[in-house]
Amino acid sequence: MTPVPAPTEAQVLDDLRAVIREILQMEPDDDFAIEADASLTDELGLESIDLVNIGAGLSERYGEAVNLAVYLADQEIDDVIKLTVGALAEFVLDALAVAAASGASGASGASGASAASSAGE
Amino acid sequence: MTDVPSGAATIEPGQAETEQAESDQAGSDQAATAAAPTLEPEPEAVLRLAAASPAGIAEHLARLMADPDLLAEHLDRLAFGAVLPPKADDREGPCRLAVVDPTPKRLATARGVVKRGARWPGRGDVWFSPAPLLGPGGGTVCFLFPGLEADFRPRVADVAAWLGVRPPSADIDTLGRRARAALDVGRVLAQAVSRLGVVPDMVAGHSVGEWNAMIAGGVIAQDDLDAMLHATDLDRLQVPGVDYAVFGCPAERVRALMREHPDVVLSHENATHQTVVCGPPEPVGQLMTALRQAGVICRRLPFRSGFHTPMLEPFLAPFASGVPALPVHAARVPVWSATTGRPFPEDSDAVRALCIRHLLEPVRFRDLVLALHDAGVRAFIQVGAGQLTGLVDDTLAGRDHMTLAANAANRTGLAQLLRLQVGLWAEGRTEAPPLEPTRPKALGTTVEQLADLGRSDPLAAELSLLMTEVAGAVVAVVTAATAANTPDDPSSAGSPAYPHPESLDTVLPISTAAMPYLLDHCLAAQRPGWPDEDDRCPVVPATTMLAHMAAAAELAGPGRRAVELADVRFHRWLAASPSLAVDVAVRPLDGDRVHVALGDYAEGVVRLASESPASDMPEPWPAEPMEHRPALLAHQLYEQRWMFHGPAFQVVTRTLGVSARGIRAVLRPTSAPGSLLDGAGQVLGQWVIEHHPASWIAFPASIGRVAFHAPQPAAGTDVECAVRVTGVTTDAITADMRLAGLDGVALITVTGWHDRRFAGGPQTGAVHRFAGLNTLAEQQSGGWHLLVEPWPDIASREFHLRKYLSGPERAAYRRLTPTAQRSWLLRRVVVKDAVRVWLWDHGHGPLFPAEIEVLDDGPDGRCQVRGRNGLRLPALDVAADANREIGVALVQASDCDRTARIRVEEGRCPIAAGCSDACPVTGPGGRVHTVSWNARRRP
Repeated sequence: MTPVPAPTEAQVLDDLRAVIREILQMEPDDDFAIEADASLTDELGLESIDLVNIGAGLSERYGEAVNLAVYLADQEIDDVIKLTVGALAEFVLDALAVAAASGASGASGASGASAASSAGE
Repeated sequence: MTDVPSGAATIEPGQAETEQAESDQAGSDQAATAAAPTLEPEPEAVLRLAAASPAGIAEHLARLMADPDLLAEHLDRLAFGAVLPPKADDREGPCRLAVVDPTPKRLATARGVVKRGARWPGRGDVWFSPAPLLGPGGGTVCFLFPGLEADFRPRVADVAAWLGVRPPSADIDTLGRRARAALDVGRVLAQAVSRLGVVPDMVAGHSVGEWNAMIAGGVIAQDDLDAMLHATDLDRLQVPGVDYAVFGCPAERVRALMREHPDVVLSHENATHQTVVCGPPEPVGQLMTALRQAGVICRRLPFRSGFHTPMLEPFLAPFASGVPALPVHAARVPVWSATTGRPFPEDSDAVRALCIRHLLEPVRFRDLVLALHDAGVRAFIQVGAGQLTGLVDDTLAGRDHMTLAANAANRTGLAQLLRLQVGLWAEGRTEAPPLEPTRPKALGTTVEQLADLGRSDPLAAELSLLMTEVAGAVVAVVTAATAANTPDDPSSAGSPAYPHPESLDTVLPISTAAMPYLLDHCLAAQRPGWPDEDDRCPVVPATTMLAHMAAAAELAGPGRRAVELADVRFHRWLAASPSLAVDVAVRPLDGDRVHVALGDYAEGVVRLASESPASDMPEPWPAEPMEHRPALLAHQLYEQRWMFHGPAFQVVTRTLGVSARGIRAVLRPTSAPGSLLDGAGQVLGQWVIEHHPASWIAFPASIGRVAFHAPQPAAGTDVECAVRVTGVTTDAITADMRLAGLDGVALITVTGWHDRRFAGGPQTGAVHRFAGLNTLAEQQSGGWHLLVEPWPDIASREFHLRKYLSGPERAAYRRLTPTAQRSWLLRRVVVKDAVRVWLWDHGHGPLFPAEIEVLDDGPDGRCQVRGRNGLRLPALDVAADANREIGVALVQASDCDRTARIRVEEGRCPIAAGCSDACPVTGPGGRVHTVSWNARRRP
């Protein structure tokens, strides 16, 4: 299988913005800028339960290699509160790099339209 | 006169303890509000637009965005703690937009939101609703009280200072302290939202928060819970060796894996995508690893207690003694249980059993939220610090609803409370200032047991209690009276088998302790939590007096019932506070009829019979022509305070139709004596409101005849009431009424119900309904206040003075000669109004006249004013003067360069000495007076 080129930081940020926009029920062209240094809780008003949907959105776009649950397991709650969009992007890039290095690339599905499905059934 | 206007904030913190915010508060409050001691926050600007459609809003918004001056005019500038005032164009349409601090960026976001046309729930301080969820005919509001939260970052230091209470400790080191902190923060916020006039239709809580919900709903009293918790060391109430873990997935997914770990149980089903389990650390860890690999976000929670699992059972000893002794009351506001997903039961033992179940069974918060939504709740307000809003949004995704938090971690407490109000406005909430708290009806305390015992005839219970006490005196009177009656009186038309009725003298004790329902019938609303019951003026309703008269008559003619009352007259208000005893005198007129007098308060003639004569049964009334739907829904009568009645007398449940000469409604009587007929009077009142909105205040003065055709229906039974208005004059309204069961069988017929109307313009109505926000006096362009005597007779004066004067002031008033009373009263009223307007102009919230004490000082009409019961007033320079028709007052800050001075003289006069301006005013009868005042140099 031809390896899919790893996305750039800019692409990952765009994907994250799209995921977050869905959670916030915004249209893609809405006048609402999501900066890389925006804090998920303070500026975007997300709560811990919204992380579930972010995790689902990431898995859908990038596959099982990007497991937000495992990433968050190592975070203290104060760090989770301060998470920024940029930090999430970094996590995604790291996870993809690790997956590529070990050859178990699970990248599937480009960023784009997707339903906000739950992490469950 | 005015709603609460905006202005710069100079709110002083109340009686908060000195050893507070800085020293013993760790965490977010201290870090974020370093300048906590005095509040000098900048007022925030709020833009609110209402229109018939999103297009209308878009158009209006475009105009404002193009013209900054026009935009500035449209803004409300609100100091924190101010109540969001109603907008003049609220009625323009259902569609609403609100923006806090409308910077160009936010306005641009707002424009995009409006263009999109869908609901936008407060992100980026923009709120938009095309079809509001609340408002008349809309959804209801539920308060949700959070419990223990992993992420607990309350911001309440400024809220506590605003309320004048001690800020809750944010110490969460131990489980016990965590629980306390969650409860205390919830309570402070409950007080704050109540002060802002936000009232729930029902309440619920999550985990420990359910206790706060029970307090908010009146099922348990705060003091009683505090006492129980004080006696329970929560830190020792813990199951050792168990962990909690939260999973970001539905419960079914976790359950599927739990079969392999039988000692792990589900403790919380919080939302569609949040489940919490509890169990020994190792199996919990295995569950977490398994689910995490599958991408489910998991986290261990930082507390161990075993709450909401059966594992807690052996450790329940501290609660086992506390809960059964906890006094339980009937809910004032429905309290829903997260254990059952339904409202709490009514039976007090069942309530206590549920409290125990709550500790041992899982928190089914998701099911509760779904049930609340099915029951019509559309606004869920988190009253506390936590993440319940996220849980609700997750569970109700795809359904119409709104969530709001009374507290948020990323802004100060008061700033978030402002947003709470804005969010509610955007969803169509209609304004209502704080309602008075009503005392919970205690089940099981000795005094109320009496009323409960005689539930079928509570009045007999009340009277007979006194009868036994004064038994000796009564026997003597009865013996003497019997001798005077001849048993074969020819006018006796009743059944010869019954003895002639006897004379009776007894005493009826009137107090709010013996008759707690009287607290739901108060002439003067006061600030919620107001400690002086006297000031609220609980009075015995006319129909309750009627019921007492009937009961007294029945005691005089044992074995027979009161089937009719005639020539009933209500002479004066029977106030219940301070408590008193009223002499009850029953005198026989003939074999069937007795005259009953309740002191000099009321009297009537009662006819006794073994049963109601069949010939009396009236025919049903024909339908009224041209009946239309009422302008007011039944619940709005009380919510909008057209009627001041509390729950014990909120008897009108549905208004069926209004016509030119009639009105029909469904009543549901309570256990309060006289509640059914009082409801009939309220229905008549609604007719007056809908037909004479400028002058609608009326109270019963007399009733020609009340005939009872059947035994009184039990509390909670629906009764249909039809009212036919037979006469309307400027002073009075007369009507006939017919009350029947829903099966059509007549229960009560009233002929000649005569209401006296209380004169006064729209201001008297506004003050009657919302005394904390309105004035009788009017501010003039010179800055002074004018009160032209609004009461044309003693009865009207008596009615209004109760809203303005506290208990001690009423006593002082009654000691004056009648001529002195008029001017004295005008002066008091105008000073209290002038002071309140000054405070409102400087950012204060609702203020009731009784909160201000007026001390008449030295010469030249200078007054000192003082706040009562915790109200702190700044130093003010107050001058006032009054004669029998006119009252005038001038208020300014005490640091102005000229002292305030104001005079009123009858006739056309030159400017009074020491004043700079004068103008003529007209009294109620047309007489001219001259008012002179000293205009301040500085505004």
